[in-house]
Amino acid sequence: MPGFLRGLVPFAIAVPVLLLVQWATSNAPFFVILSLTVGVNVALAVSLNIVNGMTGQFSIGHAGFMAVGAYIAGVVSKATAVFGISFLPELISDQVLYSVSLVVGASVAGLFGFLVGLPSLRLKGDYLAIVTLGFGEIIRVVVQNTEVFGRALGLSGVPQRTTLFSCWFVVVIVVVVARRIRGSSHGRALLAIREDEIAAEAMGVNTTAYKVRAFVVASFFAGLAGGVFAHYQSIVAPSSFGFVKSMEIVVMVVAGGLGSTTGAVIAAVLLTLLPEALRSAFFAFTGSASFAEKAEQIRMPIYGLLLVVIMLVRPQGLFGSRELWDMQPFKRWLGGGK
Amino acid sequence: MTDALRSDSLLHVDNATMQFGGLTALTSFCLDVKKGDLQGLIGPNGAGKTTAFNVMTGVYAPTSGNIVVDGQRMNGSKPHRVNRAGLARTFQNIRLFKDLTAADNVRVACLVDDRPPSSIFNRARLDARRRNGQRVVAHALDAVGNYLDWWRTFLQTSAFRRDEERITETAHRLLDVMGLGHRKDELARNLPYGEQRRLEIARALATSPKVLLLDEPAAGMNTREKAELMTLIRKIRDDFDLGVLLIEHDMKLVMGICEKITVLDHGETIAVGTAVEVKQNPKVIEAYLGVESKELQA
Amino acid sequence: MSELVQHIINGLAAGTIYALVALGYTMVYGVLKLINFAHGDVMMVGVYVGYASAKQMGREFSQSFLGISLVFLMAMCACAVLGFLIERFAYRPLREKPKLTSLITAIGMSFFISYSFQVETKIGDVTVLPGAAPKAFPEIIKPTEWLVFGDRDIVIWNWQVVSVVIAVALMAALQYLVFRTRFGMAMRAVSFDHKSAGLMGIPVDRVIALTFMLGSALAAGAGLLYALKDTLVQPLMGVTVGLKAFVAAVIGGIGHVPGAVVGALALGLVEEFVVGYGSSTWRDAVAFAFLIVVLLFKPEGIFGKVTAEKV
Repeated sequence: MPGFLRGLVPFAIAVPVLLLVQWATSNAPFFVILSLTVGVNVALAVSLNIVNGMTGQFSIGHAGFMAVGAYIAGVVSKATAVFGISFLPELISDQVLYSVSLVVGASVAGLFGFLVGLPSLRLKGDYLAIVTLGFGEIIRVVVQNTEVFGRALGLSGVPQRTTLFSCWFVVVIVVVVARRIRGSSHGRALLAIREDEIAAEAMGVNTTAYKVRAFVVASFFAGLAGGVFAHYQSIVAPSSFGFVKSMEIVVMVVAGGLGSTTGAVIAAVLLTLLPEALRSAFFAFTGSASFAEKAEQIRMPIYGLLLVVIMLVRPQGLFGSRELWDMQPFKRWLGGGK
Repeated sequence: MTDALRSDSLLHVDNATMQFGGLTALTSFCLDVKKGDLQGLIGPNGAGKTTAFNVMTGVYAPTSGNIVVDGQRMNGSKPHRVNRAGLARTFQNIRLFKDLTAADNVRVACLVDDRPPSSIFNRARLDARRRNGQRVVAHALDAVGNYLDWWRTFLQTSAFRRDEERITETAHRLLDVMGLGHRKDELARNLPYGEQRRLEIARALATSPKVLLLDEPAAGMNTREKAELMTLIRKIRDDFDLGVLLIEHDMKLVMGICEKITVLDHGETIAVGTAVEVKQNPKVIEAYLGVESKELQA
Repeated sequence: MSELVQHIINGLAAGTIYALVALGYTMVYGVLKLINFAHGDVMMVGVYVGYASAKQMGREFSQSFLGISLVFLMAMCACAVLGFLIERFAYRPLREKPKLTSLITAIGMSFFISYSFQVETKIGDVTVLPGAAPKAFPEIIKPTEWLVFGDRDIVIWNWQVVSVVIAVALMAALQYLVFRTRFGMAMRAVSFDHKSAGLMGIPVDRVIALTFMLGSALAAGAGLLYALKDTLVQPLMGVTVGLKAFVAAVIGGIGHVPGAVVGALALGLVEEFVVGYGSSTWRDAVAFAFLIVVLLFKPEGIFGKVTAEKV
């Protein structure tokens, strides 16, 4: 079987599994919404891991790329909502147009990744972090001042096209791609840059170009996640993409272990579910919504504290740099490290 | 300049000067390395030896002078370009990729090269374009070619899989040559010091260089290890068809294997010649120890 | 023309406040090579301490010279202590670890402080944490026009004058400290190479701790001046002011004391012009855009030195 057909196997498996899960949960909307939230966060964490974890460039404005993807995909979707592809049934036509809008949004996000990656070439550590933060904020301010994007109130009326299947299919794509990057010369180049940029450069790695590429790939996927987000939230408001959101993703990547895709996935799942679980628990026990709201507010300082504690106690996070598929017995099943 | 373009000169440095603000670290440095050479670069601490390396490999752009690698003028080129042109190096303070395995360290240096000769993205053809002054075109094609490489990675095509196999095979082979075959899956930072130094050499070799620059490869080794290293360096020079230039402090090692030695002091070249000639050069003796040198006459 | 002058005056006045905060960043960076993201939030804490003290003293007393001094003193002391605690328990253990670890910790600390102040917490009758709602800072200096040109064409307010005077005084004191005292010399030694400084007998830990305390105290002073200017205070003010001051420090060349002042004044002016002649909604983006432009052309900042890494 030619190489790339073998490469399609994970997707071939994912399709029926996800369709099954979607059918099984079609009567549990709460679960579906929850899984969509988790899915988007997983995609964001895994994509950020490419820059922060694999390449060692500390970017803290990732929500900005998510915003670009969300807004552009939303605008494209709204514009094409009146159209349909004539020879296809409406449902499929909708999904096709939806996919197109996602790709457009993600591509623009990727372009922004390029623009952000460019100045990053000359900056290190703290400076890079601030610049990425700055870009995130600038994007937010621009959006807040632009009519097309609905200013401070945001873009409303984005058609709700995201299904559990499409969201998690995107997640599968992001995870598989991240894994494949890791097991390729490109991934190794990124890791080398993280370990020692000067040595990497001396060994023939074009560090400049690779750092930019890392940003482009990561921001493309963040944009994809943003597009998915926009199509179930329906309202795309700038407040969803602030520094707080960027921080949430950073905490997930750090907690999972910088450099580990598996870690990012698990941390994203846990850190999305835990607050929800706590909130529901509070609500169930105290019956008061305000207390649950308190739990929501406490979430933020706890994230901050979590970062500090992790750095003091276990800086390598859950998985460090390791991956699930490099550990026995998963190595056999998942074809280890490829 | 025409001298430098003689076909057999792999590395030619023509009056390179390096100034950092008010400090001149290197003055009119000249060097010529041909295939099969085993040369040494020595001098007291602070003489400018590592600076010379940094200038030759593109870490610093020389304030004046020319660096020509395999016929291509490389002044001010970035280190990765210089490496692709054929110059590989090791570092004075070991710079391995500590959290990667020994095999991965070497794999990083193996360049992806499965672009068929007929393709416009083929590396040799791009280099030819660069030589012809079509730098921008070559750069653009290189970038596009790289993005296509990424797609092949995402889709895991057969070409990609073949590349990976070839890279792994090359890495394992080089590790075996350097006596590190049993350590291939060990993290670089867990290796004993001597093995780390050998790993750096294996890594440099993986870039398919024409000239190998070794910066104090024997530092911190004991006598037996140094003797083994001397043999190894000679073997590498022979088996891989290279020119080798070493910086070393251990006189015995340098005098033992280097056929031609350049001596630096305060950035200036004070002597060039064979081991015997250099040992007896009064300027060299003075630079090292003032008046007499028992060490040099050992 | 007079509008221009007014903008210049406003910009410079704001700039001196940013300068005080920027100095804290630059000093800490000098000794620790760490950008203390939490610096702005420490400032915020100081502002609330000042708020609480002023409220406790009551209107009349807080407006007297003694009252004002006490408010400043209490805020500065509180921040000094907070700065000490943060350095001691969050940064010191990580000093020998890779820079990234400290960076993440600093970001986490900033987040923790600013967002915990957003959660209104009361113990019995006492409000321990203020909550997100903006509060009006007590008018300990009643705004009066100090100098008026023409028909109110150009107005210089008393609080602007006080602001500048206090800021300049504190900066002069800092300058004296860093360059004319033994402690200052120790600080500079530590900023060059803290290992060697330690070997020379300098109590590195103590110097760093004191530097932190000093920077934090300055930030508290700056915060109070900012609160007087803006009137409203809320927990996230530390983040905005902090980031802008950080931008100023970087623009001037991080680690360079006069540079931080120059950068801050420049930023104050640019911001004022954008808001004055452009639109105030772009205010927050200005600082970052300015930063990015400077970093693109001169990554080490205006006065910064290019530090080449030894290969």
